[in-house]
Formats: sequence, structure tokens, C-alpha cells
Amino acid sequence: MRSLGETIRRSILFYRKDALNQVIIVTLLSAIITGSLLTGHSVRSSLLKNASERLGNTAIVISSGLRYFDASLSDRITKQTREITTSFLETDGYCQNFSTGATVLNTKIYAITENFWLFHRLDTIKIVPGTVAINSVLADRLGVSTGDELIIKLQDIDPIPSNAPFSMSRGNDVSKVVRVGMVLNPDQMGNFSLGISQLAPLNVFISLSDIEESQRTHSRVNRMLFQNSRNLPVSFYREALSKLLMPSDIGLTIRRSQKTGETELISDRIFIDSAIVSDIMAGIPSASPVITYLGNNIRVGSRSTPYSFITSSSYNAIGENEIVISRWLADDLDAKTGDTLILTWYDPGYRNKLEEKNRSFIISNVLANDHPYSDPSLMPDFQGISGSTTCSSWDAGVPILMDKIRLKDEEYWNKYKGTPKAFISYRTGMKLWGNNFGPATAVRFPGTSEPEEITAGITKLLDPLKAGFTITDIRGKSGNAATSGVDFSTLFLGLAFFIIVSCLILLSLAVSMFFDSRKGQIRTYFALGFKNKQIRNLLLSETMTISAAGAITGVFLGYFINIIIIKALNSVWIGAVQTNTLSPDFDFISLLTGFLATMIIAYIMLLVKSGKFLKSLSEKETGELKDQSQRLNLLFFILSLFSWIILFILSLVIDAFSTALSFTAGALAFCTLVFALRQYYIRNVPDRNNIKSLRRNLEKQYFHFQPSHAITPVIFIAAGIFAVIITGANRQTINKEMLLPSGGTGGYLLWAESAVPVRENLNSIEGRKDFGLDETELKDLIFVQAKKLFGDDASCLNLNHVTAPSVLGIDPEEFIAKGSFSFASRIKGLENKNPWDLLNETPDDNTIYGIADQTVLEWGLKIKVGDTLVYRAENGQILNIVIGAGLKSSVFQGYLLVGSENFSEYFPSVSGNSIFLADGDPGLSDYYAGILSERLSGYGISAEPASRKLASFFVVVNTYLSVFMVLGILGMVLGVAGLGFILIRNFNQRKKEFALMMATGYTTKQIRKLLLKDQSLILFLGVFTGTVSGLIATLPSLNSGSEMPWKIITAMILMIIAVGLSTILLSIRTVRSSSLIIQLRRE
Amino acid sequence: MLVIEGITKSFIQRGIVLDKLELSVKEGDSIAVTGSSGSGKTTLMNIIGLLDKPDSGDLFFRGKSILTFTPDESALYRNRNIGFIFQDNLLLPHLTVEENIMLPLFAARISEDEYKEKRKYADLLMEKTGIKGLYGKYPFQISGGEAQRVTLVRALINKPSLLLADEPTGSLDAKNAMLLGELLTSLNNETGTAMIVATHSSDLAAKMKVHLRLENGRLIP
Repeated sequence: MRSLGETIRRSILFYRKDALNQVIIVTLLSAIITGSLLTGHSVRSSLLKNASERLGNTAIVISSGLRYFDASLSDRITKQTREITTSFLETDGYCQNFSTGATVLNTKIYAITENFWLFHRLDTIKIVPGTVAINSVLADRLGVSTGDELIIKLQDIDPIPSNAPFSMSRGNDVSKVVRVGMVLNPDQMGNFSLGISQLAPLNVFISLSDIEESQRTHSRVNRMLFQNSRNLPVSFYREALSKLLMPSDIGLTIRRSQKTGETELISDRIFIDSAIVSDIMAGIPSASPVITYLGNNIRVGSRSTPYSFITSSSYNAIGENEIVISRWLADDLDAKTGDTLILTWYDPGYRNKLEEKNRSFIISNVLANDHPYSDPSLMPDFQGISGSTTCSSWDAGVPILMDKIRLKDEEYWNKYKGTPKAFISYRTGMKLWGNNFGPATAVRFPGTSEPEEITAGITKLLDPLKAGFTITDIRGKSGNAATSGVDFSTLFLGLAFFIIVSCLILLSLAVSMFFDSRKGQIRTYFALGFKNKQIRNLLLSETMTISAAGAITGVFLGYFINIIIIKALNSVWIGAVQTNTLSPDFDFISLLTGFLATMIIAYIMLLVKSGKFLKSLSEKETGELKDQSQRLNLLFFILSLFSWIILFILSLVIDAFSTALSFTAGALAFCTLVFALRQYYIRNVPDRNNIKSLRRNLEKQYFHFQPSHAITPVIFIAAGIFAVIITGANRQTINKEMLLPSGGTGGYLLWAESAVPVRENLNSIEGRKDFGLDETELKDLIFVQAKKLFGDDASCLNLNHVTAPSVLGIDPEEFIAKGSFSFASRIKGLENKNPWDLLNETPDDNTIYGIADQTVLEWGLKIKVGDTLVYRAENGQILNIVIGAGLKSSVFQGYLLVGSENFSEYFPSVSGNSIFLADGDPGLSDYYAGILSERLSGYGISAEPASRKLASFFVVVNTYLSVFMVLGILGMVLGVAGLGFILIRNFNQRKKEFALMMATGYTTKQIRKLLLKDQSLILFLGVFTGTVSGLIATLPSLNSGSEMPWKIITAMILMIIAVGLSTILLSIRTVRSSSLIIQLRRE
Repeated sequence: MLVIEGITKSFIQRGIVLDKLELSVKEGDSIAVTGSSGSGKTTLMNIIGLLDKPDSGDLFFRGKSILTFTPDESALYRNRNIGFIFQDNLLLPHLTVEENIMLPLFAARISEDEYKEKRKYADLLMEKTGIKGLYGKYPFQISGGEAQRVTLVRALINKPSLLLADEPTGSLDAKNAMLLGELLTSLNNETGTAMIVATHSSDLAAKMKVHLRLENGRLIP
């Protein structure tokens, strides 16, 4: 025999029983590690698959955000890029089953053409006009099938935002009754979505022509998809868009004024974006911006003229406080040059509340009625005004007092339409009427320029990004989000902590026993002159071979564990993932990593243990048994006892820190009990006159010198029970504190969301009247309202890593006054400031502050306070949102909060509020919810108690805690089974002792009884220590109403006792008189 | 060859076991050490074989103090110069007789030629000790006497200068004990290997050239 391999093989075969124990333990360790790694991989691959399913053939997306563009742009880009594209309109709304009234909110509505299905290679799908296709999830929720009728309500898609100045009075929604033409499965693009979430969307696909017909629009879309078959970079598409984008694509029209001969640029949004105006002014120096605005009243002295248009421009040199009026106006007001004129108008502010402002001017000139600048085309194409035949039929979106309109005003309108009656300087007009929608209603160019020339010039200047376009590698982004989301590998390794620890302890015991059984063999090697290193290598080679066998078996078992975990995540643990579409996936790298990790752990343990073992053999033999210091132990016992008592009392008295104090008290109680136990074992004062005392001392004498043999299993069992109890107590539930203003509900009764934004202010007299909220019973009902910019869900319910959460624009004054919500973190340097105050500040150009839930920051966005999220404002400019503070767990989880003023500045087209916090008389909470659901049903509102909204976020954490408890209990049971190992080891070490006892007259039965007593005591002491210290640690939680899963904990304790006792009883059966007699012969 | 000077060794439970013990062993000596149970015979063997260390005193092998050896040097010393025979033969149960005999060769690197030479020597020893037919057998397949002879061959394979036998016949019946004793004597005469035999057996002790008693921690002639 020459080879080491052969020696190892023979040795393993000979000692196969010991080897098998080790193989089993290492198999389990390897299976758990590999199973966890595979679970992480499976979740990632499922999210990737989910993303791929959602996107279909989509690789690149061009989006106009909240704006729209002409569908013909898509055709031109297709020709230019030679890439397959499709364009469509994406909007939000809600659906109702026409028959049953069942309503589903938060629905995505895609207005598509046939090209959409061809893009995704689904040639057989066609949507007949008048019908829609919906996805199966939505169909299930509505309880509809093919042929059933639905009511669809979608957000208004008018290019003019409903909250823009002088926007026609109209609702924010469009309603259609349609029939379900098809119910689509995921493989039919039913779950199409450009968002990042594993939650199945609720989709409606409608023909674009149906929307155009009802909206009297043409070819207006807001998304363009590319297959990017040639894997071209995003920059390629950006360049193509830059080259091909024309003013008409984004609602800009260039025309010539018949009156003045000037070329002018106007927008279908009425106001032109500031970025576009700035670029034109910089690129075409002859350009001149104009704002034409409706004045409510023009007065000189006692005479006044109602509802007139005033133009601010750079014509003539009009001073800042000067005004030039038309002859008609001068006659009407009996005014002349030098007179003071008072102009009154509605402020174009963002607050949606009408505020009249006025200012005085000095009349510097009177123009003839046919003056060139008396140009009717200066009046913007206000939809509710320009088509009217009379003034009294105007719909200006603001109150028009009809009794103020005189006959001469109607005559003026008939003859001159919206020809401005007065002119001020552009600079003054900008100050008075410039608003978030833009600084100009037109840009004019000298009459010498041809419209075609101007068009070409503006086309060159147009920057798609400044026009609000974004170009995204959506496939790459979704892939990144899926792979960098919640790491289930690390999660499950942590959750399986106790199983892993149990395996390590058992492996350590098994290895110790293995080495003990080889003492004679090792002695031979020593005697024959083998070096320590050689002996160690022999031992390691053998044990590592055994470990490798276990590790290999374990990695394959780990695949099955992965299947079980994924099944559980799709069912009983669905709270953690919010989807049942996860699937197990095989991954060689995970298997290899699991194998290597197990081998490394085994190697380190074997290296350390073999070193210690050989060292102990080569040390000088003195026959000495180490005595334990009773004094030191007693000192530690007293210290921990007093510390525990003091902290426990403090935890009952100091509410603010009761949780931390009680946890520490519980941990100290744990230590106290362990020291007490140790003292029991190492104490050695038998009453020599009392046989019972002598016998008792004899029975525990073994542990006097080896207290760790008793204490270690106690600590292990107790630690496991302690951890499971404190886990159970920390399940998150709603308690009294959360309902206070400082709690997660902010002290509000209700949380409501609407599918269609509500333009009206529900706290205003007009708003309450409009919605019937002005009843006496509702007098205490108040609202905090927020506008919402759709983004990705950044709450714990989304497994993907998101970078652009939904943004809420909120007025924090109410929160400041009420002291609502609490903060877990604040930005450095501003710790003394109320974080809510930050929301109204702008620390830098295009930079604002935002606030988000601390959980969202850490786990969802993976950023911290002080970091910056980069968004694109509606007009394409970069908007930096600096995180100013992190909220403690709140109803706002998943959102980024900014100040409402800042929100409206950067996203002015979001024309109403979608999120509401309501407060009032707590006894009327249900009544309020019912009233809201009824009065705002047309907006697709859902109202629920704020506490329930908050509790919905606990499901993820609570599920993880449940998983931890289950796996922890399994680990504990495993560890307790390892008591059998300890028993056998103790027995082996005490063989001579038992042999002597037999020689003096003890029977085998008595020796077995002694062992049973020893080990049972250890088992029960472990259970007692863990339970008592766990309950002490969680007393405040229990007092505050926390729900402890008593059934699970009781079942766990009973299972530990049952398994422990069974293991002990089985193990002591190995005690036989025959094996002991051999020991006697050797003496 | 081996000089023990003033070795003292004590144990907590047993007190002083070796008390300034002196011994000198020359090439070819055969020494029987007798004494009552617990007198320290095994302790003395362990110290000479550097399996244990004394509390005080010194130990010289070929004029060199060996108590200061590092663990590796101790291993080399045992491999090259010492052969051990224990009462519990300590054969590795999963190796054949042949493999157990060749085991000491794997402690140190040897060339192919050296191995062949050792192999021949092992054959010779096995023939001499009457166990040649046991090559392929395992320890559990041979008798106690045969096992002890295997141990003897294993102890001699590296041609040690000194053989330490601790109760070599303790587990044997009278016949095998006598056989082993004769083998030890003949090998001592033929090979010149010095040997120290710790034994209770007066028959075995009588076969050795020198008989010392271990009493009160010292060797008395």
C-alpha cells in the first residue's frame, strides 16, 4: 500500500459508522447553504423572467412622460432607424363590471394599434373597435369574461392640463362602456408593463382609434417601443429622435399672422415651456416672446371694462409701469394718456384657488383700433373661448360674471374677437402672468422671416430631452432591477441561522468523537515517528474526504430544498413576495458556491480541532484535572443578577426605552441563569453525613471538572428558545402608539387613493360643496391632499430594486401643526430643523428636498439621507431631489414626498390630487369612508383606515419573522437531537468511571438512569433558561398588546422536549455491561 | 548510547513516580525493568521514547541531549532510533499485516531502492518470527500472539538502535509469551539492537542480560 488515498479509503470504510454521522451532518449543512443560494438565484431568475414577460420584445422605450407627441414621429423614426417600433398611449384609470358594479382601481389603459401585437409577434390578436382586451388578473378581479361589458374610466388626455390657466372646465376623466373582446394570458402580453414590479398589473388594451374618437384628438401617443434587434446603444435612438423631432410632433405650430405678417410659434398647450422659449431666444435672436392674458377688469376712475385680453410683448418700448391701450378701450373708459389704469386678473398660481390680483399702470399711449398690433391672433387658442360666438358662452375655466358683460362687449367680440385691448412690456407681463406651464403664449418673429425658415430653425434647436422625452434601455433597467433587488440568498442564510449553527455544533461534536476514537491510532503514529504535520494531514485528508461526500450529496439535496422553499414562497409565505409566479431554477454556480462554502467551513473547523487535539496529545501528561474558580463564577452571577433586576425595573418605568431595556434585561437574565447553573455544577460541598447528598454529589462530579459539557447544551437550547420568543414578540402589529400623530398613521383616520386625480380642493368651501362634503356631520372632516407622479413602487412589497419611486407633492403645514409622523434619520447639519420645513426649500437650482420612509431608503432604494435622486422634470430639465429625512415606518412607504409648490413647478401637468389623508371625529371613521367612496366614486376612490394601510406593509416583515421562527425551531430540534451525540461522547469519556461503578455493584440499569437524569436535567434547564429570559425580554411588547404566537412557541417547546427525551432514551441504550467490562480488564 | 541523568517525574494523583533516576544503555544491551503496578515503568518508557517529558533531569542519546528536541526532531528520533512494542499491540485495524509493518516507512521520505531493501528485510523478519503467511490478513483475523509478533517486526523495520517493549507479553498466553521472549533474545543477539523491556514476567526478565527493579522511583539492580 503506497498511496494516501488508499489509506483514507480503508480507514473510512472501517470507521464507516462514525463517517456516516459526519456525512449526514455535512449533507444537511451543505443542503441548507446551497438551498439558500439557489433560492436567491431562483427569485432573481423569476424576476428576470417576469420582467421579460412584461416587456415582450421591448428593448428601448421613448416616452414623453406626462406630455404627448404625434404618432407620425414613430413612423419617421422607424424609417430612419430601420428598427421595428410601435407607439401607443399609456394612461391610468379604473374599471367597473357593468353588471355587478365590481370595481378595480389602479388600472393601466393602453390605447394601441394593431402594430402593437405585430411588434410582439402576436399576429392573431386583434381588438375590434368598441371592445377591449384585458389581462386575466383583471378579468378575475372584475369577475368578467369575454363578451361581458365594462365601464372604463381613464384620465383625460387633453394636451392642455386641466389646471392650466383658462383651461376649460372639464372633469379629469373620460368614461367609456366597452365589451370584453379578449382575456389575455401572460404569454399573450396580457401582463405588459413598463414598470418595475413583480406584482401582476391590471391591464386594459383598447384601440387607439376608439380613444381618438371620444377625445376628438388625432394620433396622440406618449410611448414608443423599439425591439433594438441590432443591440444599438441608447445614444443611437437619442440622435435619431433629435434629428427627426419636429415642432408639430410636440404640439408646436408655426403660422403667419395675417394682420402683422409676422411668423409666430404657438403651442397646443397654450403656454410654451420655458426651456423651449429660452433655446429659441438664444438660437434665433430676432425671436420675441409674448404673453396674452385675460384680465377680469380694466378700470380708470369710475369706469371699467370687463374681461379683456392684454398682451405683454417687446413691441414698442413700454416702460415697466406703463400700459398702451387701444382707442376702443380709451373711449370705453374715457381715458387718455397719463391716466392711471387699474388692471385686475386671476393669479395663474398653482394652488388651484382663484386669487384676484390687481396693479396700476400709467397709460403711455393710445393706439388706433386698426393698429398693426391689434392682432386677433395674439389671443391664444383657449378651447373654451376661441370657438365661442358670444362672450357669455365662454368657458374660461374661471368664473365669468355674465351680468358684467355688456352689449358693447359682445359687439367687440363679434367684430374683433380676442384682439388685445391693452399692451404692457413683456418683462412686466412675465412677472404677473409667467407660470409653471411656461413664460409665453407665443413667440413671434419679424415679418421678413418665412414660416418654413423659422420651422427649420426651431427644428434644429429642439432638444428632445428639454421637450420632455426620455429614452430608456428598459430591458437593461428591468434586468438590473431584478438582479439587484432583495437578495434572498443572504436572507435565507440568515433565516436558517439556527439550522446552520446546529449543524456546526453537531459537526464539531462528531469530529471530536472521531478524533477521540482514534487516540490509539494517533499514539501509534507518534510512536512510529510520524511528524505532527503528517499526522494532521492524515486526519484532515480523511475528514475532508468524508466532508466532501457530505457536501456533494448536500448540494443536490439543496436543489430540492430550493424547490420546497419556492413552493412555500408561492403559497404560505406569499406575504414576503406578493406573487405566486416564482419558479425554482438550477444554477451551477450556486451549487459550486454551496459546495465550496461547506468545504471551507468544514476545513476551518477540522483544522482547528485537529490542531487542538494533537496539541493535547503531545502536551506533558500531568494527570491534572483543572478545577474551576467558584469565586469568579459567583462574582459574575451576582453582577449579572443585580444588573438584570435593575434593568428590568427600569424597563417597566422608562417607557421610551422599555424595549431596549427589557431586551438587555432578558439577555442578562439569561446570563444569570447560566452562571447559577454553572455554580451548581462546580460547587463541591457535600454533606458527608448525608448519603443522599453524597450520592447527588457523586452523580454530578463529572461536570465539576467539565462544566462546559453541561453548560454548552443548555446555552444552545436556551439561546434558540430565547431567539424564537423575541422574534415572535416583535411581529409588527398596529398598536396605540402608531395611531398617535407621531406614529405611522400621522394621527389620521383614513388613507384614500383615487384612480383619477381630483382637481378640486376638498378643504375649500367650493370643493366641499361640489362633492357634497359640506353637510353638518362632516364638519370635522379635513384632508391632507397630495398630487402623484407615477413611478415604481419602492415599498417592501416590491422585490425589485427601484431607482425612481412615485413622487407625492404634499403641503407639509398640516403635518407641522399636528406634529404628524416621526423621523428615523435627518440630513447632516440640519438636525435641529423640522424636516417637513425642508420640503418648501430649494437648496440649489433645480434641486429640492424629499422625504421617504427609512425602510424604503435602506432596502428599496439602497440610499441614505443626504443622497440625491435624479428625476426629469416635465419639461425635460434635470431635477435633483436630495433626501432630507427618513420617516419612521409610515403609511407613505413606497413614495417620495416633496413639497407641493415644488411639485407643481416641475410637474405642472399633474392636475389634481390622487392621495388623501383624512381626519375628523374618530367615531365617524367608517361613515367618512362610506361618504368618500360614494361622493367621489366617479374618480375611482378607495378609502380605508390609515391603520390598515400601515398594517399592509407589515406582512413582509412578519412573513420573514414567521420563516425565521419555523427554520429556527427546525434548527433547535436538530440541535436537541445532537444531545444524543453529547451523551455518547460523555459516556465514552466516562467509561472507566462507569466500569468502576459496576465493579462496586451498580447495575447497568442504574447507570442508564444516572445518565438519563443528567441529560434530562440539562434539557429542561435549557428550556427553562430560554423561556424565562425570553419572556423577560419581551414583557413590554406583551404589555403593549403585541400578539405573541403562543401556540407556535408552546408547540416548539414541547417538540424540543419530546425530541430531546427521545434522543436521550435512544442514546442510553448504547450503555451495555459488555462494553464496560472490557474497561475493567485493562486495569 | 543512551544515558539518563537524574530524571524526575511526578503526577498529581500519584505523586513522585521517577525520582532522580539514572540509567545507561550501551549498544546491544538487553535490560529488563520490573516493578509493581504503578511503579513507573510505562512512564520511563514514554520518557525515553520522548512521548512524555520529565519534570527535571536530562536524557542523552549518543552524547546529545534530546529533551530539547522540537516535536519534529522528536518524531525523527523515534522513527530512526526507537522501536516501540506496546502491550495493546496498537495495530491499525484497517491496514493489513503487511501495511502495518511498512507503516513506519511512510513517516519519512525514502527512495524506491530503500523501500525494496526494507521490504526484503521485512520478509526476513517475518520469516524469522514465523508470520510470513499473514501478509494479506487484517489484525482482527490473527491471534494475539501473531499480532504481537507483527508489532515486533514493525518496531524493527527501520533497524532502530533501541527497542522499547512495554509489557510485550502482558496480553499473551504462556506459549506465545515464551515465543516472543525467545524472539527478543535472538534478535538482540543477531542484530545487536539494544532493548529495554518493562515486564512483570520473571521468565521474560530472565532472558534479558540485565535485570533492574524500579522501586521508589529509581532503578535498582
